Amino acid sequence: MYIVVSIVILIAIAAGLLRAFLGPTLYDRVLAVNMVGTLTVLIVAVLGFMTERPEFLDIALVYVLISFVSTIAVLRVYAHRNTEAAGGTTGPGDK
Amino acid sequence: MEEHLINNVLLGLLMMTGFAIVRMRSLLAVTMLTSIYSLLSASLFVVLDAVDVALTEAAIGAGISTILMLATVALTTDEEKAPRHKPLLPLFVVVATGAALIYGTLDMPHYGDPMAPIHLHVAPTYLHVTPEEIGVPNVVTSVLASFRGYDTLGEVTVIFTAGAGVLALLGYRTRRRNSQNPEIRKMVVLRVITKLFFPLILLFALYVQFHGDYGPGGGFQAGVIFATGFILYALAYGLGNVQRIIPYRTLRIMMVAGVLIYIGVGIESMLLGGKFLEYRILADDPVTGQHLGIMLIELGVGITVAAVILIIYYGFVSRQHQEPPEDT
Amino acid sequence: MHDVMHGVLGLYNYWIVIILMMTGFYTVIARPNLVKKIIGLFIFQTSVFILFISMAKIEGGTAPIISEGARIYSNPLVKALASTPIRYPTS
Repeated sequence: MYIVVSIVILIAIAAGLLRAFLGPTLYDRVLAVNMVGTLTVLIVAVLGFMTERPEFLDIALVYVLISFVSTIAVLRVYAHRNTEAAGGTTGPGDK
Repeated sequence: MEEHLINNVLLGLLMMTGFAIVRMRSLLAVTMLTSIYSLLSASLFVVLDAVDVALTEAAIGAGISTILMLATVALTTDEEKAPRHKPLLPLFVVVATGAALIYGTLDMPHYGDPMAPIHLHVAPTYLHVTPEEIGVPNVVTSVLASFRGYDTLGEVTVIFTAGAGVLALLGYRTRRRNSQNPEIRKMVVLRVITKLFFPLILLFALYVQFHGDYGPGGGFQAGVIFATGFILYALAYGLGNVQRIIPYRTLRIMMVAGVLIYIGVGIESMLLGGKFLEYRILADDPVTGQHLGIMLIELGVGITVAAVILIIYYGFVSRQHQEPPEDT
Repeated sequence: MHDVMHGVLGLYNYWIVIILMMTGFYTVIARPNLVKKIIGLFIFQTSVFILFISMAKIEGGTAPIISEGARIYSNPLVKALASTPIRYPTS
């Protein structure tokens, strides 16, 4: 049963990766990173139960706690850029 | 069998991500792909039974390294310049090296082979001896802190040196307390979530620190998680407020104190009549002594790592705001 | 035919690791941008970890944390090696 779950999660990760590769805007990529982060939490949890060592949920917990920090950092850099450029030059999202 | 399938698919995804990272020009996008790359490799480490490495990768890759890279990108430009000429020579070098390495793998023992030379030398001894002599369930911790304590001391010194180097290169300037961006004041959700998560992250760092003997974790990972908590706080409330909690002076002391705790445990065991870092002298019962020694040096490692990472972060971010705006 | 398949599956991990390693190496030597070079080093480093850890895996083994019911543990030594390095991307 776990194998079905993990295959589904892997397919979802692949879909998220595709979005991160294709872009085109920064927000697509941020969402893709977030999604892959969530799915990683899931797959680590599933792997823990699959190998009958559920104590490895610790790793999943670390992800839950800190994976969003980098997302916030990306958005802050972007916001910083935009306020400095004051709408003048092209931001990374305009490509 | 299932593990093989997951392993192979994850490796394929990693390879694709690697190619995409090389091809992309926007450095912000590349930074985000690097974050995905590290997430995928951490899942792979869990599949390959390396939970401690996975925890390290989770703590560093998902948070710190992305943040530091972003800080670098924020200081420089986002766009990578197109190469001036076709990279034929590097391509040739890479293909030749790769071909030689692949030729070299043909003689290697197959993946998962229990009779591979790597499994026949010291590893069985460690696995066998650890429960009786050290009494710590996590064999990785016992190897790291006890059997190979000298190596880990070297590692901590390297991290300390890295912190000192960054300090020398980047310099530092204290920020005023209310120096935060007015835009951030409006982000209520971010501030509330940060208030909610900050204590949880610190608590979890302490858990990873002291539960490292029994489960995945240890000083390195705990230090990184601890620092990430403060970086999150800095992102939401501005650097000035974090520096009221942990001022720069404290960090410098912490950075040195961690290494000194480590060396101090070694010297203590020498004073008690043992060898350097021979923990079983530290208490009446050898196993208790080992426990005590491992706990203390892990604490030292955690303190140094947390301090060094925060120093690097402070260095980058305080520099970010010094730049005059007309430069960018 | 079966032997070839077996060989390919047995060495698959190492081959992917080498491709990743070369991806990182290429980025380091062919790209002038320093951030890109550091990311190349990061890819290279991770691939080395994957190489070590793939070698340490035992078929049917589990993570080297002693517990009831588990009998085969993967090699703890390389994990101790790989779990200590901390990256410091200072460019």
